[in-house]
Amino acid sequence: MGKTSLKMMILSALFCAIIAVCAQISITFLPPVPFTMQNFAVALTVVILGRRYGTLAILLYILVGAIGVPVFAKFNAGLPVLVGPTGGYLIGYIVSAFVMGTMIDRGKLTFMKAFIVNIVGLAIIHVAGVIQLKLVGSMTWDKAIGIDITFILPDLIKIILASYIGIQVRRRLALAGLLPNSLNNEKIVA
Amino acid sequence: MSFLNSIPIGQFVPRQSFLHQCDPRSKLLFVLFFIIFIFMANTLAAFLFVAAVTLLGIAVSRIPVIYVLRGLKPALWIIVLTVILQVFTNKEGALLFSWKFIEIHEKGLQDAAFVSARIILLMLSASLLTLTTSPIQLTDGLESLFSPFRKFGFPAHELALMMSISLRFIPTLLEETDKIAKAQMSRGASFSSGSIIKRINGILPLIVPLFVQSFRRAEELAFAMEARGYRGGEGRTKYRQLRFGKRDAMLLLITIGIAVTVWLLRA
Repeated sequence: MGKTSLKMMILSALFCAIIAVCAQISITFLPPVPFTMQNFAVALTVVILGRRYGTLAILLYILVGAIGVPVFAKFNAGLPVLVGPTGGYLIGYIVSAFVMGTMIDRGKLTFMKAFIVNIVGLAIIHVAGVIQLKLVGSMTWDKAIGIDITFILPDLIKIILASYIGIQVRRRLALAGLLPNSLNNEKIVA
Repeated sequence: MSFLNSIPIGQFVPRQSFLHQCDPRSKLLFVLFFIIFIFMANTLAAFLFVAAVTLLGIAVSRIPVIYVLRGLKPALWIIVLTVILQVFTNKEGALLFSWKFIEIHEKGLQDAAFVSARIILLMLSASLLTLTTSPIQLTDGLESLFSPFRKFGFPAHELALMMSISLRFIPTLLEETDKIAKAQMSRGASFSSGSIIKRINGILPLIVPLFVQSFRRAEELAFAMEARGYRGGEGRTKYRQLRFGKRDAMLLLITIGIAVTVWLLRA
């Protein structure tokens, strides 16, 4: 096993821990909507680590939560969260990380691109969420979608913020020379 | 900005019981099958049977009921929402109650009871796994269950290693984030007042140090591990051995018994 791959594996594990920490932080930007940093940290992880290790970090996060460590929002944890009606949103993170990573690994990263990538990721998360909500909650499609839609607007606000902050963080990490060589530093144009 | 000061230790409740002493692998497989059985139970008799098995499992585990019920907390609002939706929008069966535009039908009440009971059963049986098995045991169990897939390139050992590393660092990072937040606040940063732009920019000094430190930490840990001769999972021996014992054989028989019973009670 090469040194870079061991280091990247440890890095994914640490990013998984960072997502767990961020899921417990909530900041109120627009008074009624608390901004949980969970999906924000997920998006950021993919932007920084790229497809392979980003997806790995998200997969780890879901697994660590599934085995009962309170890493999901509000210190929730365990298999019940995943098999429950809203578990699809968490499982959707894995798929969306893979797709978002694939898109980010190509070409330059601008705010517009980060925003589009995040929209695609959000759509995947919501589709996975609706499917599980329908199956576990035994609802009709229109009811499951109806419940889902109430969360789309706050999520849209979140991803605009995530795209903005993600590019800022990535640029600062690049300036500090911390992004691994496999991630091309010249990609960042913000 | 809200943090919880206490560092949580997970859901595991140590006890001496049949379920606690089973091998994590057999428990993982049991729960997986049991979730399928819950979805298969489509008659009242079959459903009552899986419900009875779940309650029996809770009794055998010797875990205080309050801990088990806590597992339902994350889905409470969605269960309530499901019930409301079913009761007020289902227009089948005899009309039981009507007032202006609100109508409650018999089928609606039945469906609401069935669907919410099924979600509750699903979550209770899943939480029994994490209540009776520690995260470390489950990590070992997952590694062992996934290891046959190594032939196809699935990184079973690596995944388990990374899970252990995350487990080790979550408390550290929680503490560190708290320290960074306090350090920034003492410099005048405010996370709960000022304009939106100001608050967004307030997050950056909180998050950047977390990421920067993780890069440094990963490098150090990788060096430390390789200096001690870490070469991946090949030929590595284990401190904690998993053993398939009498109890696991019993659990296997119980699983088969439940499968047959549910199959017979199905419509």
